[in-house]
Amino acid sequence: MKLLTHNMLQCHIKGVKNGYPLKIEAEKVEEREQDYEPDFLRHIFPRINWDALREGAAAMGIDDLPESASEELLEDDEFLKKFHHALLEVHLEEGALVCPETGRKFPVSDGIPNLLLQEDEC
Amino acid sequence: MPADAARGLADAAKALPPPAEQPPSGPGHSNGATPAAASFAASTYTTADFEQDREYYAGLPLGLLHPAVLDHGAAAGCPATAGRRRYLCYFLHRHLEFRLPDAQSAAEVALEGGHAARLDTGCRGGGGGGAAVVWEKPFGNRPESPFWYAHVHSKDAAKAIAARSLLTKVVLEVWGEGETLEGLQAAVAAHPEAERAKWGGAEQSFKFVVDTWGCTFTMAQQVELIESMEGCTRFQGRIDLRSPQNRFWLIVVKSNGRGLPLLPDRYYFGREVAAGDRSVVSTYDLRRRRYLGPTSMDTEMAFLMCNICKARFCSARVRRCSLVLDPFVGTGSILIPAAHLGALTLGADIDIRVIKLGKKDKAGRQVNVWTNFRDYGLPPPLGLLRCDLHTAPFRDGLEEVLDAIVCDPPYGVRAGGKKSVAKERLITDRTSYIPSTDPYTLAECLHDLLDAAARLLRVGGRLAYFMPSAPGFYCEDEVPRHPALEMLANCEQMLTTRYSRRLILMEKVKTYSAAEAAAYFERRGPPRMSIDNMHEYIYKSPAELAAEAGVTLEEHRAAQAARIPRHRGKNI
Repeated sequence: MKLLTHNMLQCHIKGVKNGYPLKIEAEKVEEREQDYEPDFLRHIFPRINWDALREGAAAMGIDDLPESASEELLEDDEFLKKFHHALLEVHLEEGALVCPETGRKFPVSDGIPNLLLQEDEC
Repeated sequence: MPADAARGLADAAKALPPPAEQPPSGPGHSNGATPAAASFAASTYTTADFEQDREYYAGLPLGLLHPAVLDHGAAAGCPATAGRRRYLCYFLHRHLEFRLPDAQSAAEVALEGGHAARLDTGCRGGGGGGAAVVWEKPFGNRPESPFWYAHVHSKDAAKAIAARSLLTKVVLEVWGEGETLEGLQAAVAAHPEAERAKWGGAEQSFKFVVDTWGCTFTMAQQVELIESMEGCTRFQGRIDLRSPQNRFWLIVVKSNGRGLPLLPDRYYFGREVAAGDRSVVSTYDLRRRRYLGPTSMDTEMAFLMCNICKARFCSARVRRCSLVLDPFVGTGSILIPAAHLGALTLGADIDIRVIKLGKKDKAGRQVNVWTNFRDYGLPPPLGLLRCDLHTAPFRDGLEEVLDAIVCDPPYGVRAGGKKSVAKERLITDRTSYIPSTDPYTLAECLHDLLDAAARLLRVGGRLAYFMPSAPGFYCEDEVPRHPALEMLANCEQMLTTRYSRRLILMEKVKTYSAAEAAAYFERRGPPRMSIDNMHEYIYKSPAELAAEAGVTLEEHRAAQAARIPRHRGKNI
């Protein structure tokens, strides 16, 4: 699971108010090269919750992202490369996503998070 | 060529076997008792066969819901075609309702690529002004004919149609056409001299391609035909059969009604602008794919779906890959074409067995969605996710992120939908607990799909999905709608004599408003479609159906057969 996916997900258990962002419990993290596409990064940037990305990256051992980011930084190649690496090249292979409100763990195995709810959670 | 020579060709041709493009056997031909040769010789406007054939196709939809379409011959001087160039799109006789949407989407991609500014005038169908293509019906105004004219802004758009649409055989710049060979020759002779010099000058090598529709010519006949064109073409250049600079197509339409619709006789001569390329269909052939499921999407159809969704570029103003989601990813059969076309992909499925565990192949190796992508050397999906569209885990406020959603929702004929449901349960160990799921009706599923698409797509992004239909279970009003989405196409593909499926294409036309969507769904009431009862019907035996209708089995069979238009089958 890349941080791009993590950034889009929240805990959707019925009644949960603060289910975002999900905390990452990393057991196995891998890095895989992904084509660098500045135009895609510029497109996706406004849709990314920066704090959630930064928090997720920190949990996966990436701590070189600036505290805050703005559109001006998108012209900076060095920033784009860091953004690219954190968003698309770091994978959570094994671990869990944890709801910040209820502590419910959604397992991630083989890089696929399981967000399916159980009957008493819908 | 004199008239009797042309008849000689025809006489020889009728002795040959029928064309290879025979669709699956449909209901019997009305003139079954008449020798086919007789109908060939008499294939003119007035035969009873022709009229009957015309009736069968009279209601054939174009697939596109509001295209800019002109009658044949109405383009000259029409404001909608001002500043455009006219090309002949020679389509394959396949997926008739998909041909225009497929070609038009290709032209739209080219329009966005070359003339981004024109986008602002709105490039969807409707008025001619900003439309990527103004279509002109084929000769005789017969929608089933494969010879459509596209009026496009540039040669690049014409090339894009051939390059990207799977259902286009070739795109030609027509130099002449006629009802007889003599008529064609006269028209070609009258083609502007400057053009003739440009493409047929002494330094230009060329080749003739003879193509027949509805009949077959021997090599000797083809040579005779080519030689007969020398007088009117007057090319100065050298003939090069291997790698000519220019290819000229000579197309003869003489349908005998066996397998193909009857069309009025027609001769076309034109310069090839670009030829179609269907090589991806064999490259990604399902028979050679290691990981498949019972509902894996056929390669050609999966490519058509991705093409129609423009799962490649967004707009050229931001030249980048599009981001495509399949929320019912299964074995990834729809995302593979998307990845081939250069899109970034995301997949979700409720069934972990399908996306993660996969299967063992014949050699005992583990195969799954990842290995399918790896086998083809395609970039793997950006993410795969196990979740349920009904209780989708996308964060609040996540909008305008995807460029396309392409999917084949479970519609309960071969695989039923499942959703998570609320139930009283005492769960002690959540890590090992397997939640139960409930059946998910198609109506609920499509409701969730449309609402997710309305949120997650960017404005201008597209949703394409299949829904089943069968006589008595389909009604156009039941096709779900959404206030933020506009329906662009509805293309039917016949599957069996009992049922078919329809590809629905929608485009997001405005930003999502939760209040507006809620008010709309409130008005529509709970999602319900008659199709939800289709499963039972599909799996009933003909005897049961006949008994229910109170008719004999033979009568029932005859009625079934009469419902499917002749010449329409799985790929037609």
